[in-house]
Amino acid sequence: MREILIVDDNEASRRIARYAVSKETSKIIESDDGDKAVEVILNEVPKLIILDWKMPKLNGDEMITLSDEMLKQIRHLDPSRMNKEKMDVILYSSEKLQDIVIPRSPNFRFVSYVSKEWPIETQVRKIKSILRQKR
Amino acid sequence: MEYQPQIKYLDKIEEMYGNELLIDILGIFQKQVADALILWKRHASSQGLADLKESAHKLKSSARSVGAFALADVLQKIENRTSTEGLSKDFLNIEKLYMESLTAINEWIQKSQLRRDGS
Repeated sequence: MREILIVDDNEASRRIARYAVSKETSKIIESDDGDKAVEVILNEVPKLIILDWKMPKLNGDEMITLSDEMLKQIRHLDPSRMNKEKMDVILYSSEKLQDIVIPRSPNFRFVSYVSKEWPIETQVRKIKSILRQKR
Repeated sequence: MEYQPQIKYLDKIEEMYGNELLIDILGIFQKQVADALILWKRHASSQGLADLKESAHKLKSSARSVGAFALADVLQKIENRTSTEGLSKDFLNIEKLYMESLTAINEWIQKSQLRRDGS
């Protein structure tokens, strides 16, 4: 499996997400802010992103929008870097899903939502079940 | 005892996932709260509400992950605030709840250590 990118400014949340995915792959990259995550996305094109929505500096939706813009420029300059597969995104947030406005994106597909308000076991179980479906 | 629900929660997570994940998260939680308390004490009068709300938002998730649900609820209140009126009362409440949570965590760590030493 290609890399899984975990983007979250909260170290505890990153630790839980890492635990949930660690049995599926050893290729895990963590980023504690949206800016660094954009760099990873452009260079590594991860298969799956576990994305916190509310972060300082760059929110989840701003990160997606910026990544889309930069990917568009890269592909304009180098069409050989066209990637037909979208990157899957799991929204990982304490924001309620109904309060999140998910942007339309040519490069990212929002596949699921995991709430940080859920007990840890529910968060881990949900992330693992999403990964099993993606195998 | 008011610590028991949190201890039971920690027992359950340990049973499901072992204690490595839990020890990591507990350490992160303790550090985050300690840092936040220092920050809030220093800047309670001058800190912008937005910064305090952001700090509360981050801590809330960590608090829930270690079973400190009462603390998470107070942090949620701060996150929902539109003014700083009565904030000092919230801070006192947070300190109290954090100390209770810390006591629960220390008690759980001792129990967990005894279980492992006995096995």
